[in-house]
Amino acid sequence: MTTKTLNPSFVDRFHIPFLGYGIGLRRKHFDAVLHALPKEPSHWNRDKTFFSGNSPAPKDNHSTGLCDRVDWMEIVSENYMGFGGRPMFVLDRCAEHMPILPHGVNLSIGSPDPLCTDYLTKLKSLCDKIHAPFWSDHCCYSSAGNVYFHDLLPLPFSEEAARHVARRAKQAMDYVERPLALENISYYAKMPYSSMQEAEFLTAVLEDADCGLLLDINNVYVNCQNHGEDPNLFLDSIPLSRVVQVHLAGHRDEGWLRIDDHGSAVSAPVWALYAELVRRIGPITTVVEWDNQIPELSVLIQQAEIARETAKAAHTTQSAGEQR
Amino acid sequence: MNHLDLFFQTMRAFLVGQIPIDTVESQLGPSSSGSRRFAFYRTLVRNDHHGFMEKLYGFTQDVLQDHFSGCVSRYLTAHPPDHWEPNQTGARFPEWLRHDSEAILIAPWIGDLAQYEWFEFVVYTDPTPDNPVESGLSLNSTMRALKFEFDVPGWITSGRPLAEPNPGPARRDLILLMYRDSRTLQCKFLEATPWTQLIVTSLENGDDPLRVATAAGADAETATQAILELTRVGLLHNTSS
Ligand SMILES: [Fe+2]
Repeated sequence: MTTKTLNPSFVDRFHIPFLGYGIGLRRKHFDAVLHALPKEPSHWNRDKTFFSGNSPAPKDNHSTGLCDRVDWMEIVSENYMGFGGRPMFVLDRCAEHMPILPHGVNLSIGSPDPLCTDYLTKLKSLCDKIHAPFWSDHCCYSSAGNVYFHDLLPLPFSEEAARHVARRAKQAMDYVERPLALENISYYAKMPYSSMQEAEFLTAVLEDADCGLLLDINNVYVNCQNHGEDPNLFLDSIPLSRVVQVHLAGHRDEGWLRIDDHGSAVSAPVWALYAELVRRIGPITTVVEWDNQIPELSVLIQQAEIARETAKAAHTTQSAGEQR
Repeated sequence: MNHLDLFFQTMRAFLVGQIPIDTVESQLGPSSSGSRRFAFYRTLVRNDHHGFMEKLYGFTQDVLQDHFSGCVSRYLTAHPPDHWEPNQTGARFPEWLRHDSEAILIAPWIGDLAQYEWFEFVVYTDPTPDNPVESGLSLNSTMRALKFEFDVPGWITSGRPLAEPNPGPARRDLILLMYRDSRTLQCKFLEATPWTQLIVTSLENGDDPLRVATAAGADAETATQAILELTRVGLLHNTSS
């Protein structure tokens, strides 16, 4: 298998934009989001924002307007694929005012079953509708033998599995006609037949398929805690030039296991690891995920603002260090 | 069989609850993370599947209480989720419930209740844009006409799902028209009368409802009033000036 690349970054080759700091759009917040959107259509130029590498405008922390405080939104693709009604109405209103990125949970890129063309067709039409510059899903399987488990399940970390995933990732990208970013999942048990470390497996998949990496910093932290590994070494071992986006989220500690439940604020060690990442690669499109015990919209916005401040501070430190 | 095929075949059986973790470990070898963590994946998948069912079928769960989880487990064994859209996990639940002896013993009307909940979701997310025709009368394209054997809609409207003790809805055959209001985008319903059924059917067949209603014996005033009322509640669109 191939190893870590030194080629021009994935971000440059595919003109992946820096979108700034965002939040996930969740049904619970539909009313609050509609209320906080500007009454008039925004003047952001979709093509310019996405493809010229422009950075988002500075934000106003005291404003009650959503667009003054977050730069973009992430949606769970499956919540909008083939759906109309209120979900699509809210998505359309949001897309009038800010960039939207689709993040899927059921591509099941590692599955033994053929890729689902109904899924890919609906996904492509969603990506077209929202002008997504890329799309993302997880490096895992969530179905097998025509059963959908609706969970992000770890594959064996083996060359055989990596080749299998990479082959399917190329097919999926061809179908959707956009770059794909695969996310590192949280895994609680290393599967039988694993002959590699997670970072090696992930690198093999990304390099072989020529995919972007959606780096979930909470997952890195949770996995390293659960498996007794060093998160900095993990960052050393993956192709950081392929990172197109970052996920941040909360987790809970059950004693015997840390669970990636997206049910609380981002923890201090995860913020620290995020700062370390920004010191290494600079500011990166970031979203805070929150899927259980979802708080008020304002709490999510505050988390995105902490991400912005953390990245700004880390980037300043890094730049100062480089100048010395 | 190669390693990956054997892995998926074994994990599939384990994740749907057909084989225990010991059998997985004897077929694939152990996880270096230990049995407890390996086995945890069955719990996660089960919780995910049950979670979708709980979100879709809140009233049904309230009625079946402690029996709901067992019902869902039996249903998922009969119909393992086979669709990428998670809510489709519950698509066949109403029909399945009608034949589950344990559930109908608790509430004979449980299938009707689940049908109501399922179609609330279906109508709410219906992908058709519900655009009125350019000129004249048209039917709200999100409408579903559903048969009920119990007055579940009346029972829900009166807030009785949460009542204690709970006698349940009265036995009564009815046809319910469920649709999404184009203005509020919320699901609404209307019990069909013979006249509304006639108007709806005539529009579905591309006929003039006023002509069909009067031919069936309605006076023009009654038929016009019925059409106006259906337009007022958003089941019909009238774009004629
Ligand atoms: Fe994530």
